[in-house]
Amino acid sequence: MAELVADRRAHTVDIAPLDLDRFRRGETPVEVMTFV
Amino acid sequence: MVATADSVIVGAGIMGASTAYHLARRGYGRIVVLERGAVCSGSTALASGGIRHQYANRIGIELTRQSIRVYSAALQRALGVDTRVLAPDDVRALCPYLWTGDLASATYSPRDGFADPYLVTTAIAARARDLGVVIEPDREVTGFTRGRRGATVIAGFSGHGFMHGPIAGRS
Repeated sequence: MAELVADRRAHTVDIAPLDLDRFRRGETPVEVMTFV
Repeated sequence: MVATADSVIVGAGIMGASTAYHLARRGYGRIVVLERGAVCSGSTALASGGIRHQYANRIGIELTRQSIRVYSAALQRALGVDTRVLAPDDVRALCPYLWTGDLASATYSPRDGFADPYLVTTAIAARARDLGVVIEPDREVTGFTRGRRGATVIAGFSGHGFMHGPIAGRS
């Protein structure tokens, strides 16, 4: 989260679906649950 | 009371404390954590502390793997998610206290474990303070107003005036 705040993108773990702009886009679901 | 900051973080649970700590390590400037109660007094304090790989989405799994890297310096080798399907007999052998009479099967990940949420959060908060983070307890954020340039928020506190700071990034 610190990387997202400081760099606008996380490097250590890809957490793009948690991007803060998702609230502006109205996209609150993070990722669909995948049961294989 | 601090009136301005380079980053304002709402909440001093595990997410807020960790974000403050890592921003401070990066020298992000003046960081203030606003907490309506005390450090680790909300949902983190009520968490069971389980560390598990068995999520059904990518982010959950990858965050667990990264957390274990952080929590345990001994785990330097590359981590793979070792999840096994156990038959009831295997479950009884592993956990004799479980009732398995109605169990078809179970999943087990030997690298899952437990981390005390209170100890972890308060330890991270203490290290964040060492790095200059200001944690303000008893400061409940009651609202946000987006500033003219879009990146500034004004947070109002119950009975304590206002604070200005960017919601994310420095631009």
